[in-house]
Amino acid sequence: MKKIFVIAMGVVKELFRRKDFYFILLLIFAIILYAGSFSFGGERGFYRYFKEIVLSMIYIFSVVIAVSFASRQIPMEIESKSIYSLLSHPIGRGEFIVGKFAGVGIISILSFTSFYIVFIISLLVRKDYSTPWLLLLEGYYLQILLLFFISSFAILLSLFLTPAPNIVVSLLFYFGSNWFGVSIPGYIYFPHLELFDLKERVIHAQSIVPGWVILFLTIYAICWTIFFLYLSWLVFRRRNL
Amino acid sequence: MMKIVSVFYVVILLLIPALLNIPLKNYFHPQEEYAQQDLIYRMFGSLRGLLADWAFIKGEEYYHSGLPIRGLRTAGCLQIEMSKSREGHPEEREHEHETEEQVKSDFYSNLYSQIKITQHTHLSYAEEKEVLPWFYLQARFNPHDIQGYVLGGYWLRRLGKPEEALRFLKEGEACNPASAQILTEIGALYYKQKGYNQAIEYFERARQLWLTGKPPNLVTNDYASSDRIYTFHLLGYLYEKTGKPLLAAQVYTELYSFEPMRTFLLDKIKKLGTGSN
Repeated sequence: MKKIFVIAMGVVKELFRRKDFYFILLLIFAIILYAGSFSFGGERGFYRYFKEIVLSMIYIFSVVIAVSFASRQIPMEIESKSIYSLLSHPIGRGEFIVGKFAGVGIISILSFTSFYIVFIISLLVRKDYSTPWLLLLEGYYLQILLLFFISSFAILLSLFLTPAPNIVVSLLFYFGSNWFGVSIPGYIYFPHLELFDLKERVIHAQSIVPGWVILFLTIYAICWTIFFLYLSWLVFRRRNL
Repeated sequence: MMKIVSVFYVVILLLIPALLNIPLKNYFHPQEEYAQQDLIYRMFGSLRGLLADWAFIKGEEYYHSGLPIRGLRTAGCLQIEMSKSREGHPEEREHEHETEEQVKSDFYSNLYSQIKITQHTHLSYAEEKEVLPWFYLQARFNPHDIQGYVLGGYWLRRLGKPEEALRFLKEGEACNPASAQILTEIGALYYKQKGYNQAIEYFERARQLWLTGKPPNLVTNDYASSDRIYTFHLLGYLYEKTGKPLLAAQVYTELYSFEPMRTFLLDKIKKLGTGSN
C-alpha cells in the first residue's frame, strides 16, 4: 500500500510542477468573466447561459487534464528508463499500475474540485440559487467517477499508444459517447459515459437524481475502472521491458 | 513565477476585447459589413456555419427547458409558438402541446430519463430571456443565417424591447438585404407599434421577394412558410384597414395561390374584389 502511495504522490507532484493546471485555472476565470458580462438587447444576467458555458469548460478541462496525465505516465517512465529502478525496488507491476492510476485519480479530484469551487463561488456571487445544492453535489460526484473511468481507459491505451494518439482516442471516446452514444448501433453494449453527465440538469435547475441511480452508476464506474486496470495489468505483466 | 506572469499577461491581453464584449472595429477594412467586424466572426473562420446551427439548436433546447430537440417531437414547436403569439394574426393556430414524458420501459431508458431531461416543457415568461444569447450567437457566428436575426428580433420584441429588436433586425437587413423573412419581421414590429405606413412599406418589399421565389426566400421549412403567410395576411389586412380593398384582394389572391387549402380566402377575395370593405 505504501509503495502505491509513493508512486501516486510522484504523479501528483507533476501536477504542481507543470503549468497546465494554473493556465487552465486562469482560463476558467477569463471564461467566467466573459460569460458573466454577456449582454444582448439591454438584457444581462443570463443564468442558464452562464452555467452552460462555465460548466462545459470545467468538464472538458478536467477530462483533458485526466487524460493527458494518464496517457503520459507509463510511456514516460519507460522512455526515461526510470521504470527499471522503480520495478527493482521491488514493486510489482500491478502495484505500479494501481499507483499510477491512484496518482491520476488524485490529480483529477484536485483539479476538478478547484474548478468546481470556482464555479460554485461564481454562482454565489451572481446570486444564482436556482440549482438545488444536492444536484450540484451529485453532478460533482458523477464527474469524479467519470474521470476515474476515463483515466483507467487512458492508462490501458497507454500500453499500446504514444501519448498524443492516446489523448486523441480517449477524447474521441469521451465526446463520441456523449454526443453520438445513443445513435451508434449496439450502443447498449458499450461503456456509457453520457450517464455521468448531469450538466443539463444543473443548467436547467431540474430536480435531484434519485439515490438508486447514483448507487448504480457508482457500481457501474467501479466495475469498468477495475476492468480497464485489470486488462492493463494483464498486458503490462507480459510486456518485455 | 515569471512564466506564470507572462502567460497571464498574454491571456489577459488577448481576452480583454472578448471580456468586455466589444465588437472589434475594423480600421483596416472599413468596407466590411458590421457583422464581419465582430470578434466571434473573426475567431471561428469557416466553422461559423456549423456553430450557428449549433447555437440555433441550443436556443430551441433552452426554450424546451433543456430537452434535446432530437429526442421528442419538438421540431417546429417554437415555430408554432411564434405563430400563436403573433397577436391579431388571422391564421392563429392552436398549439397542441404534449407535456407527458415519453420514456421507453427498458432499464437503460429509465436510467437515462433520471439523468437527462425528458419532460417536454417550455420556459416560463420570466425565464424566456434565457434563449436570447443563443440567437445572438447564431447571428454572430453566421451573419447570413437569417433565422438567427428573425428569432433574435422576435424574442426581443416578445420580451418588450421593440427598439432593440428593430436595431438587431436592421443589422440583419444590412447583412441580408434580399431576405423577405427579416423584412417581414421588421414590418411586424412597425405594425405592432401602429406604424402602418412603414409596415406596409416593409411588407410590400417582402411580398415582392416572396413572389420572385429566389434564394434566400425559397420556402423549404415551416418557419419560411409561416413567415410568407404572415407577410401576405398582414399586408392584406393593412390594405383593408387603410381603405385599399382592391390591393388587399390582390394580395389575398396571391396568398391563395401558395396556400390553396385556405378556402376562406376565396370569400374574402370575392367581397373585397367588388369594392366592399
